[in-house]
This record gives sequence, C-alpha cells and structure tokens, in this order.
Amino acid sequence: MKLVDQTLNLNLTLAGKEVLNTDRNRIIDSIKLNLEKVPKNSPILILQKDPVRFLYSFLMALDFGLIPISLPTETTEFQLEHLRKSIKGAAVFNNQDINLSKETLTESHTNCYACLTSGTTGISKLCYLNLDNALLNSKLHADSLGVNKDNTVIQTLPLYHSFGIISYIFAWIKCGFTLDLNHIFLGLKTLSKRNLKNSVIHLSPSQLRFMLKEKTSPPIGIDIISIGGGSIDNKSLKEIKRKLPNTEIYTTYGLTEAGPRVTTGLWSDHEEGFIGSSLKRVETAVLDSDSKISRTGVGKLLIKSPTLKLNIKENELIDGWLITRDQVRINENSEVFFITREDDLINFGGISLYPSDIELVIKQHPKVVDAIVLKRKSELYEEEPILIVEPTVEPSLLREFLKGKLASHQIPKLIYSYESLPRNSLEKIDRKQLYKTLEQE
Amino acid sequence: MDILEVIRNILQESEDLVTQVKPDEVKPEHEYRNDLGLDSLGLMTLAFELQEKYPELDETVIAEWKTVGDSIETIKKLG
Repeated sequence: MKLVDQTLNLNLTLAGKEVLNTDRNRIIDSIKLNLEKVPKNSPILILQKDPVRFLYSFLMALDFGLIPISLPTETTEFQLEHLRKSIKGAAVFNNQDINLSKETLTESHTNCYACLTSGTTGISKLCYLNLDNALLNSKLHADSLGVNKDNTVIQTLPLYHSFGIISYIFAWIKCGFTLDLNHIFLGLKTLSKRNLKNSVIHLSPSQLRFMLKEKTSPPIGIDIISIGGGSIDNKSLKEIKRKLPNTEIYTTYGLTEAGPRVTTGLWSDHEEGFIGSSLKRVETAVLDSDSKISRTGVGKLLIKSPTLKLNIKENELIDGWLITRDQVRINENSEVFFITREDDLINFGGISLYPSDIELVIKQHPKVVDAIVLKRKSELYEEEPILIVEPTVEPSLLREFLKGKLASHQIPKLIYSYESLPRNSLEKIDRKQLYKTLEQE
Repeated sequence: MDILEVIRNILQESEDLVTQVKPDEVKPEHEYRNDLGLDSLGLMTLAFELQEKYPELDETVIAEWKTVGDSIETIKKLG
C-alpha cells in the first residue's frame, strides 16, 4: 500500500486543529500534478515551508519511486543551486514550483531518501537512507518510548530533519498516533493553552532550557518528553521532572548517518550524560585510545545497525562498525553515557555546524585572505560559532556577504578580524593563541 | 514609546537575543531570520517579552511574522 494512502485514515492536526481529508486531498492533488512530471528514480530536492505540504511532498515522492532529499526550510537560493549542480539529474520542488533537470541520471540508489547532516554547502554530508530500514528504525524508536496509537505526537523539532522524518512522519504511519504539525516551536506557555491529552514531545536540549526559563505554570497532559540532539545536563533534567512530575522523561541519541536513532533510555536520576541503551537490532561499542573495540568502557562510540546510511565510505567504518565523533562510556548494563563531541563540530542548539562550511564561503570574499571558525559556550544554544578573518574587514560587510549564501543559523553573530592571524611553525592558524586573544577581547 | 522602540529595547536587554544587526539599528523592513538571525527559539523569546508589554498578544502569530514590521502591524491591530 502506498505511503500516502496509509496516512489518510490517520489523524492529522495543524497547530491543534484537524486537517480534514478534503484539505489533504486538495494538497495531495496539487503535489501530484508536479511530481508526476519527474522521471522515476530521480533525486528530488524538496523545499517546502508549509509542514503539511512537506509531509505529503516527501511521502508522494517515495510513492512515485523518486529519491526525496529533504532540505531545511531556511535553505537559500545559493545553497539550493549548489546542491542542484552537485546531484546529477536532481529535480527541485521549491514550494509551488517544480524544476526538472536536463542532465542524465547517474544516481544508483533506489527505495531511499536523503537528508543533510548540517549545512548545505557540501554534498559529502548527504546521507542516503533505505526506506524499509527507516520505517523499521521509526517503529523501534517509538516502541522504546512506549508511543502508541492513543498518543498525540506534537511536532516541535524540524520536520525535514532526519530525526523529524523518523519520529514524526514514519512513526505516525507505523504507530497510528495523532500527529500534530506546527509552524513554530511551542514553549510551555503555548502548550498550556492547548487541551493536551496523552501527548508526546521530542525536544532539543536548547528547547528544554528555553522551557525551563518560561515563567508559566506547566501544562497537563504531556505523557512523554524525549530529549536528544546534544548533551543534556542533569540539572535541566531534574528541573523539568520537578515541573512535570507525571511526565516520563527519556533521553535519546541518534545521528543521521546511523539512520538516525541509536539509543533511548528512561531517565531517573542517572549519572550525568545518560543517553539510554541501544534500540533493538542496533549495537553499540567503543573504540578506545588503543584502537581496540570493546562492548564496555570509554572511547569513541561505534554503531552497528541495519539502518546505517547507504553511501557509507570505507574510512567511516572499522570492522563493520560506524565510527562516530562522540566520546562515550558504556557500562556493564550496556547503558551509554555521552562524554563529549570531537572538537571541530559546533553544536548550535542541537544542529551540528561544520566550521569548514562557513570558512569555505567567507574565503570567497575578495578582501578575505584567510578565515577560521571557532566556537564559544552559549547558555541557550550550548555552542555558538565565532568567525575570525584576516585581514581587518568591517564585520557588517562580511555579514552582508554571507547573507543568502549560508542559512541564517550558520552566519556567526560574532565576527572578528585582525590584520594578521597567529600561526604556528607549519604556518597553520594557531587556534590556542586565537582563543587567548578572544578571551582578552 | 513606539512599538519599534519597544522591540529594540527587548533586543538590547535580553541576554538570549543576540542579533546580527545592532538593536538600535533594527528597522521595520529587517527580516527576523535572514537579517537579524533569530531562530524559532529567539522569536518565541521575543514574543514572550512583547507579551509583558502587550498581554493580549497571542504568541502563535509569530509563525506569520517575517519582518519586524509584521510584528508592529500585529501589535497595532491589538488596539
């Protein structure tokens, strides 16, 4: 049975209001008119601002045997063009407009879709995921949280993200709960105005911290909160448990390359960094400092799963295990504890920003000789990027240059420039020295 | 104080709202996401701060706010 057809008997709401089948069919028909023009097996970049339109564009593309590539709603024209050129034969479905490719297809993957792991400037970060495995991953993840058809899952995280596709779209089809789509992130204050019952909310750590700052009486009717997408401190977990004592709080871990969900656990005063245990059919291990693979101990997290991305490279694997950039500890009960992420990634409110994406674009500015992106701690977002360029250039000019070439969340709010940057004996930029200089600023 | 001034003051004073444009240079035509660099968390923070001054403001309308001018118009309509 086609995916779209499977959804027509399921409850769908938008900001708490029912989306009637007549409205759904109208949207489906207009999408169909566009997608039936696209040759089978074509990759199709999907950029849809409206969540209901995104949902049905994505599912219908799969039903039509296309390879939907879900893009962030804030994708710029520059990024879209870069991606279109990078993916041979890719069509573009940008809100109401469909643009077909004149190039011949070279894509070899079938029965799959693709997501981006961060910024959209690099094709290498596109992850192709098998559809059947993704449906399996969504069911395993929902089961690990105890989500069922009586629940209402309220969308608070982006729908286009690999996590959103699994936890909202595919889990909806597999579990039959009511799916509530939303245009905006909902704080506790907004949720308090809703008549919630058996609700489930997936949050990023930043969203959790935001909710904890809200001066409002907590809503009732939230059964489950699951938090993932960055390290979560126990202080915040205790605080949300105190605010919502009858709500089950889960911590989760996933990454797009792994399909994406990996671990889940019911949090109850665990040690710092608890991210649960592996989902069924997923295995975890660590790669220690001696490059030894162990089921317990401290090291780089390794993942074995049927849901790993299809376009995996040999250097991303060791003995069939996916090597992640995350340091973890696994105890004798197979519980996983997050320690830290490798240095260069910037965890901006749960979104991984790659400094190289930003550096690549800023280096195209005619006045910039060299540039580096560092990070600083942020109370709300966990980490924020700082852009430093050589030589001295007015920050507003650099900001203006980046606008439209990067998504707004990728544009650093903090920009510094110096006539020359400190360098080591190999002429590489001395990051430590730069951090010291920034501290003095 | 006019509404634009209220928004500038909130952007100036809230630690959670770091904008890509200096708060006192914010104009009605600036887009929240593309020009000021605010994300959904930032917009919600702004909406809640605005509710302190305009209690009848429904924060769910921020989904329709593209520019600073859009929020000024919404608040004007509150009467």
